[in-house]
Amino acid sequence: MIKLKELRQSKNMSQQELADYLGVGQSTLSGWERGATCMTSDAMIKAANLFDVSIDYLVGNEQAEKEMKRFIVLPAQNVKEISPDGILPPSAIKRNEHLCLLVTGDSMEPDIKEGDIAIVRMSDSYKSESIVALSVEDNCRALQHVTKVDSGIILRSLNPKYRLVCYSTRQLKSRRVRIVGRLVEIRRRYL
Amino acid sequence: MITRKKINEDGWEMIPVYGAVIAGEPQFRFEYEDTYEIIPPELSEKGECFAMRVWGDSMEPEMTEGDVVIVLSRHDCNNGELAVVSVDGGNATVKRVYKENGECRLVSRSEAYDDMVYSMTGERRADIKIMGVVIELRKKFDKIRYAR
Repeated sequence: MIKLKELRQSKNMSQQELADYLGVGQSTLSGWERGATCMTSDAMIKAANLFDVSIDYLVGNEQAEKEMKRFIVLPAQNVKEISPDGILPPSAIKRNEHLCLLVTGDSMEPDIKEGDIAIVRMSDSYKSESIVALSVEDNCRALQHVTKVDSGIILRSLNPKYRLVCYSTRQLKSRRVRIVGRLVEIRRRYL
Repeated sequence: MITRKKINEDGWEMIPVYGAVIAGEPQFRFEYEDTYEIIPPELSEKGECFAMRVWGDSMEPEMTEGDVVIVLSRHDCNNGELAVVSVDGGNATVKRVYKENGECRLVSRSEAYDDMVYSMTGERRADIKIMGVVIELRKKFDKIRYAR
């Protein structure tokens, strides 16, 4: 990964210094810089934060420009918030603990399909390796599988043709992108 | 057939979730699980409904073990519908049902399972009982407490 070497040299860091920062051995870092092995997602997030570049830039994704760092990459919209009437019983609507979302697109196939209704329990806490709903500027817009890592979170669609999105702890604190709750149920009608 | 049902004032119904539906004579035996699903008037108006927990992996990835199906009680189904069906007194499972040329074909979603074809006529006719048609799938993403 030539970019990693360039970025390290631009900061006048030695391999040992960067390896220590990323929490790996110097030989591991050397392998990453040569492109012999792939960086761990945790290290990617740490390095992207340190050098203030996007993950795309770091891994040499050609379409991605260094300028992208100023924007937070958002997960593609795959849900639309809908009224809970007729989905949740009136008593549950009154408690206001759940959101109802209509799934659009194929990004969560094969488990979750277009037209399904997702019921999300609003909560600040969520588990790693679960499916959560994300809001951007308080509009709920995506269901994503979340993995917690030391320095942030990695979001992915279940359909492998869609890209990963990573957020550092710092970006999550900005509250522009927020995890609103965890998926508890998917409903699909047949008749 | 369904012994427990509570109806609240808004037309919403609480229906029992069966852990298993076991075909037996003279009637089916339902294994209670002590959990309920609440269904809207739109579904309960269609007729008598029950809920059943899905077991096994034959309908993956559409349905995984622990998911719940809302079933409209019926003794027959249309070609290609998803139904809860029991063969020769075995436990009821969810399958897509096709009837053609005197045969009944039960189709799993998972490619790991072959279609099951049964004769509906003659001496070797199978005893195929349809217990209902699946009208809604409720995939559960919080399954730990349902581990069998």
